[in-house]
Order: sequence, then C-alpha cells, then structure tokens
Amino acid sequence: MDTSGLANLRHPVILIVDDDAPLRNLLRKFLQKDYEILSAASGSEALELARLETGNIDILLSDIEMPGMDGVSLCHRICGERPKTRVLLMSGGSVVAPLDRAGLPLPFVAKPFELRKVQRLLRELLAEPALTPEDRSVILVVDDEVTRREHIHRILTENGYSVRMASNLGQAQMLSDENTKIDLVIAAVMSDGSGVRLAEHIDASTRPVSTLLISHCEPEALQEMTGFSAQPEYLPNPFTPEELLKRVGHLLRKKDKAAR
Amino acid sequence: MTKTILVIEDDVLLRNVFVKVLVRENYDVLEADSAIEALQVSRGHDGTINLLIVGSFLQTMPAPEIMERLRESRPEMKVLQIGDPWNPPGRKGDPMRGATLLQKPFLPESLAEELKTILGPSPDASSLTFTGSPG
Repeated sequence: MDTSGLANLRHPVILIVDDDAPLRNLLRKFLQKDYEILSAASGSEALELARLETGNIDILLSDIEMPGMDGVSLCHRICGERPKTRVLLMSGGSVVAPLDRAGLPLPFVAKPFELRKVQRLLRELLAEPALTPEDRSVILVVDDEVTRREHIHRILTENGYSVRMASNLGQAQMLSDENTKIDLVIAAVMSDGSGVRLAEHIDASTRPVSTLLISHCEPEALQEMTGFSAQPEYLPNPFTPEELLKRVGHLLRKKDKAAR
Repeated sequence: MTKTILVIEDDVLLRNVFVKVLVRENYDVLEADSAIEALQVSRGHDGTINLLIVGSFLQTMPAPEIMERLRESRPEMKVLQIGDPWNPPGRKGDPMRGATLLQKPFLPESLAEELKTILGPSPDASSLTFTGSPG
C-alpha cells in the first residue's frame, strides 16, 4: 500500500492520542475540516506514528491517563524528538498541572469538555510562535527604574521571550560576560548614563548582540554620547508594548540574518 | 447521505492511511485499533455503519469472529476484508463469507474504487455535516 500520502500534509497536523476510541473518533470528526488528523490509541502507537511520519506534527492532543505510557511521558518523548510540536493534554482525573521537561506548565483541558473549547485552545496554540526553551530568544533587560523594568519583563515574557534582568551596569556586565546565551540587550540609558557604557561594552565585545537603548534623548544626541559610527538602536521613552515588540522582533530577525 | 465506515486495523500507520483516504473520499470514519475497541465504537454509535474494513489478521480476535460479532447488531453492514498475502485467514486469497476481499498491496485509488463499487458513489463534500453534539 502506498503510504506516501502521510508525508503530503497541508493543513496543520494534529496527532490525537486517546485510549477511548469513541472520543478519538468524535475529536477527529469535529476537527478534520480544519486539520489533518493522525490518531493513535496509545503512547506506543503515537511514538511509532511520530517516528514514521516525515512531515510536521503541529500539535499533540493527548489524553493523560492511558494504559502503558501516560500522556505526559509521551509528550516529553515526542517533544524531545520534535521540538516544534505543541501540546494540549486532556485529563479525566483531577491531576496536578502537567509540566514539560523544563518544568514549565503544559496546557491541558479537563474532561468532559466542550468540543468548541478544544477547538479554541488549538487555534490559540497554533497562533503562538512555536518556541522551545532552546530556541527561545534570551533578552537581557537593564534598567534602574523598577516599574519600567517589570513592565518590559511582563511584555517580553508574555510574548514567549526568555528574559534576564539587571538593575545596574555591574550586574549587566556580569550577566553578559557569563557564558550564557543572550540574543539582545535592552538597556535604559539610566540616570547615570551607564546604559550607554554597557552598550559600548557589548558593542566592543565579540558577541554579535545588539543593544536597544531606551531613552528620552534624540537618536542624534545618543550617537554623540556613545561615539558609535552608526546611530544606536533606540526606542523613545515612553513606548507602547507594540512598539517594543516590533523593535525587538526586528533586531532579532536582523541578528538571525547576520548569523546565516 | 454520508456513508459511515468503521476501520479496524491494529497497524497504526496503515490505519491512519485508511482514515486519510476515507476522509478525503468524504466518508464518515470510525476507527478502532482492536476488535474490543471496535465493539465499543459500534455500541456507542447510534447511526448506521455501512461498511466495515477489517484486516485479515488482528492480534486480539480473528477477523471472521469480529465480523460476526458486529453483524449480530448490524446485519446490513457490508464488509471489506483487507487480504494480507503473508497472513491469510484461511486458504490464501479466500475472502471471509459475505465479505469483499481487497488484497494488499494496493494504491489509495484502488481502495477508493472498491468503496464506490461496494457503497455506490461517494457523497459530495457539500453534503457533509457534523452531527455529533459538542461536549
């Protein structure tokens, strides 16, 4: 039998795993208009299918309590092999919120559920960028103004970025000198102007890291202060979350391009 | 009226290929990975099951037995038996009583053709409706 059709998938692909066959059938029937559906009756079947499936599996929709391998272990296995796969777990019991391997909570829906609720959760999952701890961009935020620092932290973490924070130049230098991944630095100029010195420090190092300066000053004035040949990347204060995210996205894309 | 097909196949890869072809051909599909699951699915399904697709070799119950068990409550249900040249049910190539045999290996198109022969033309996509109640 020709099985090449399995690799030729166009819609987002959902792998449904549940030992309850009527529920599996119901979910497939409800979702098959919008998604390509693969289904498995157990964790081991799901692993076999995932191993043989050459295309993407966008979402693993799995029951937690199953004979043999449980849904959380299955999720760890599949996501280990397919880091882009997102997960929605289903649970009939009152389980403790399931966690991924990094200890972050996994989305789950309690049974019995409205099919429309699952549909909505799946749409939300697909709308989110597929991020894993490994490929999540790390942003170092340096700001001595605690309210603004927390504000930036919230905007960035809610949008899937991993954030490290420092309140002064010394802390920031320590963090940026550590052998840890930093993709972007967001620094306020700060009351003593030390943000600019940090920008210089990072600019001078070999790290291919951009610094986005947040300041009331005009970009020309900043260029003079920093002595950079080009105008520094700059976000005028105050800013909206959209403005911040737009600049961050732009700088990270630029960095990715340079890395290629 | 959309026709409903129950697929029993314990090979997960093959089962998913069957389902994919059947969905593409606009059939309503019920699937089960074992005879036990199939009985459970059949009991839980209020509507007609027009066709059973069953492999000749199931680990939990021989194909003829599951066919008979399902036919007790669904005497009108037609059966397409997937013949496996390596695991014949009786003599090589013999279909079960009252079943049509489709011998492996085959192309998805051949399966679709066989279904049209057994069930008549497949319905238009426009006539597809979701009849299950949410929740």
